[in-house]
Amino acid sequence: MVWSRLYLLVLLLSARPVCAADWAESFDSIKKAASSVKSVSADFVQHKFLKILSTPIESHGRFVFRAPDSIRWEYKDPIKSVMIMNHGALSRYSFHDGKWKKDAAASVEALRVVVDEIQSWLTGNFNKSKAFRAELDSNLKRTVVMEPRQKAMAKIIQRIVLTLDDRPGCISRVEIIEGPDARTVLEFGRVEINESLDEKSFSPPR
Amino acid sequence: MRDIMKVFGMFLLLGLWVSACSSFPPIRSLDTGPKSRLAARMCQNSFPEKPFRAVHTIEATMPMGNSSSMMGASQVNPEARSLRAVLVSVEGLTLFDATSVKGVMEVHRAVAPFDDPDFARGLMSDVSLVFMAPDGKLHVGIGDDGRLVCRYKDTDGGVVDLLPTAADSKPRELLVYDKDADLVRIVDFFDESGPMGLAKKVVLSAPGLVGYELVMKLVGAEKAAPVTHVAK
Repeated sequence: MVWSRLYLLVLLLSARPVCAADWAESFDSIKKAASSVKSVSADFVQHKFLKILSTPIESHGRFVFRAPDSIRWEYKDPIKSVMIMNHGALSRYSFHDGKWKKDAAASVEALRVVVDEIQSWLTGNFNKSKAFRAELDSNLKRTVVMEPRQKAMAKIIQRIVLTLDDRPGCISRVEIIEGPDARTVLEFGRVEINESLDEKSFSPPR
Repeated sequence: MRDIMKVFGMFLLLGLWVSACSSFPPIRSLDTGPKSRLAARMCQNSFPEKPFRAVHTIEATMPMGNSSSMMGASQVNPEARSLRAVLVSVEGLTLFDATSVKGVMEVHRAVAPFDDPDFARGLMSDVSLVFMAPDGKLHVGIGDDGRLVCRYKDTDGGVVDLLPTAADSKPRELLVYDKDADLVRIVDFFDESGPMGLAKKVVLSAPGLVGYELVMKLVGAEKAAPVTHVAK
């Protein structure tokens, strides 16, 4: 009986390092895990909650990332739109009257701060963001809370909460809280890591 | 260079002359009897009377052919002439959020380049046009093409002509003229079988050199509690 208790204790002690070795236990371990991710592609569902609406606006799309700085952020409905960042150059295309048209640069630039942040998350550089201060939530496992460094940014986004996936280097949920009247939740599914990507993914749609 | 200036001067004079000679399209007045009252009710009924909220996709075509897509959410109380309009980027960022109560506007949020006060006024005025019956003194008549016209005269001297859906399936149309009788907005309402009687598609055009076009497609609409927010 004593032996069995001792065995259980040894088992629990030996299990501790496995838990402690969670890939998201520190920003260093997150960065290390992210460095092994060369590409990510995933479907997503976006819910936009507004105080004036009883139900959120739901959108669907697919997200593709290729390290270090290429992103394809595609919405399939209710609006067909593709935002592409290819080696840092940002552009967006909307599907109007049966063809793709490039969006006005000004409306795209308003989103650059968000895209730049996403790029830094996917490369594991949470604590290097110039716009947001990142902290690992001490109560919620694999949760990163980001708050704006400057008042000007706080007027646009008050907080971002990222839920990291079980799989190292992946994010499963993003919540962007703009204020009491508006927040956006993105949830990812069908995630593929380090699959080979078509170069066309980062080219303008045709 | 001198030739270019001459041509430019000619266009300027021509523009001033055309502007000076403009007048509102003529309408033949209907008598004030039952026919006129029926026509007035028909015009008024073209817009929802109860508070509602709606979500639209918006395709905007701006000067120089620039275009952009976004989502629009609106909460409207026609009786109180109050509305709240929110513009959201496809990616979910709130770009613009404002309330207007009887023309008094309060901007809650405006992200550059949507933070220009003229843009805010123009947007709220456009949203009012699409969702609320025009304000002003009503005069009912028949236009040159035989179509019924409800003419609303505003206090600034401009008019809004509402042409209800015609028997020949022409869509309901709003034509907005400024005090110089220049046509400044055209709004066409297509397939008015959406929830709350809203059109499934609305095309709003602002003619002119710096004109633009908004194509709004209805995603959903429902009854709502009246807007309680009051502009300062």
